Amino acid sequence: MNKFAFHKMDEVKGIIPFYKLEMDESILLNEFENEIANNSKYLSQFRAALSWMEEVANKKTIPDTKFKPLDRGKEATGVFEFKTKNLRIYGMSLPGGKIIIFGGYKNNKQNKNIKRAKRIANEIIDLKLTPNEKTRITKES
Amino acid sequence: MKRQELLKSPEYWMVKIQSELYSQIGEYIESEKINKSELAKRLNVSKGYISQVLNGDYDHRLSKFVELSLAVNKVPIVEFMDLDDVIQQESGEYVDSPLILKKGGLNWKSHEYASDEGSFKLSEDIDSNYSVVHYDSVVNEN
Repeated sequence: MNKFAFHKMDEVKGIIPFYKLEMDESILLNEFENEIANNSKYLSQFRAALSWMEEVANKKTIPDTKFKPLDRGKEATGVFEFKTKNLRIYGMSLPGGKIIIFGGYKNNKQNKNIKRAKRIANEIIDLKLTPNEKTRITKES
Repeated sequence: MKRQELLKSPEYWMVKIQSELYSQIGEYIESEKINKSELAKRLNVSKGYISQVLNGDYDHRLSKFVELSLAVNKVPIVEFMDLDDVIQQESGEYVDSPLILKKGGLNWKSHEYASDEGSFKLSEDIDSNYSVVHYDSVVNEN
């Protein structure tokens, strides 16, 4: 059973709000940021990814080399990735905004990460969770 | 990551420029109904160069940046702002606290700050070498 909560991202400012996902009391993106904290190359790319998120938050069209949906069509989960040279940051679109799920690397674990992102996205969709700027939403699946 | 840290990073401002250049080149291609190859020919650059721009990876010489802009019939207008001012304007941190500004700095007479609580209109006191700005009231426009 997973417990979910959404935390508004202050790093990203724009028309479309961005949220970090908390799952079972861990904010996964924060954990990823801590993981790369001592790697200046990855940290630089992380900052760039946050900056591209802000372009999306302001409804700008950006290159699909930076931001790409991971599935399309009727059964789509709305999962996407922000891409840099070495990093991948996975998220999903919901009616109230964009949810950043977790971060990973460009490596042989990408397919596994994409499956994980979609699995989490499906749980959130099944629970009918939507983000709200002023409230913390926690539901158990 | 704190918002301030992001605003202080070169990556943030690079992306702003790359994104804007991508928009402008993209709009030009669409309006002229040309492809990347034709654009490269018009600009006398390689197709790979255009691909780099359209991948959002532009980080070339300033002179090339200006040439690209002019080639798509645009001029880049550059304005520098004080970083601290940008951070302060964004943060909306001035509720119930005075803000001391240097004279000749911000146009503080007409300042409005926005935060989650609404926007704030400011009154000011002027001292000899510095200006002290207090929050008058919260104006909630919602």
